[in-house]
Amino acid sequence: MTEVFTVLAIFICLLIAISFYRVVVGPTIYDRLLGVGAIGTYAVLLLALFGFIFGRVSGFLDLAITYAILNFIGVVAVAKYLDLDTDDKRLAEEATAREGGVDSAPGGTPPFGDNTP
Amino acid sequence: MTIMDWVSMPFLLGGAFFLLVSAVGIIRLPDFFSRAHAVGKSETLGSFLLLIGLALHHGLGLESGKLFLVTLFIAITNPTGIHTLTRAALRAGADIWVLPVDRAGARSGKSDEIEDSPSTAGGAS
Repeated sequence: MTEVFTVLAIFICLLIAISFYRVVVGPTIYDRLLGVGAIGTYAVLLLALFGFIFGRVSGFLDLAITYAILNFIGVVAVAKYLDLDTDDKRLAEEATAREGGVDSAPGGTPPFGDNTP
Repeated sequence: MTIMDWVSMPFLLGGAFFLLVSAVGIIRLPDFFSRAHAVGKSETLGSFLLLIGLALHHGLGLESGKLFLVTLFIAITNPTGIHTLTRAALRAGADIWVLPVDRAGARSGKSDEIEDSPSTAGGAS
């Protein structure tokens, strides 16, 4: 059964290489962050498989739990940071629209502005 | 191979299949939101199946409890993280992909038919 786990670990390494393509060439920053999150989840599974390959299941599963927590916190933190950046840009646009007069006010509405709390 | 190995083998292979589907979706789908759909659901199900297969192979014990903990944590946090990321992208106004046929129809002035079809809701511009 160790051979099966080794094949699965090599397969997951291949999937990490495939996802790394999206991190390198992703058109937006969100695509890159999506690839990073996917690679983090693959790394958790790889750590669990390593525990079964090397016969030290309990220790590697502790590492897997820790890595899952850190991956989640990293993705949510960067997403919230980018959200903060969006808020800053929107406030700046509204300020310039308010100062710029009547002409620029209708064009200054953001494309997805009404669904935010 | 014992009988639990044969029981856990379909779970491992199914998990590998869904992880492969997720990775293909990451590189082949056209815009950010469909890629997020591939990661958020298919990868969660794939890791679910893979970790359950590992727990079935190992049997009952402290290690299978930890595997259950990892499974529960990934099942909760992976869609949550993707959802936060998708919300940030939507608020920043990321591009939404529409069919090239619908885009050509919208450009040639058949906008009434376009707005009736549900496939371009919120996207044609």
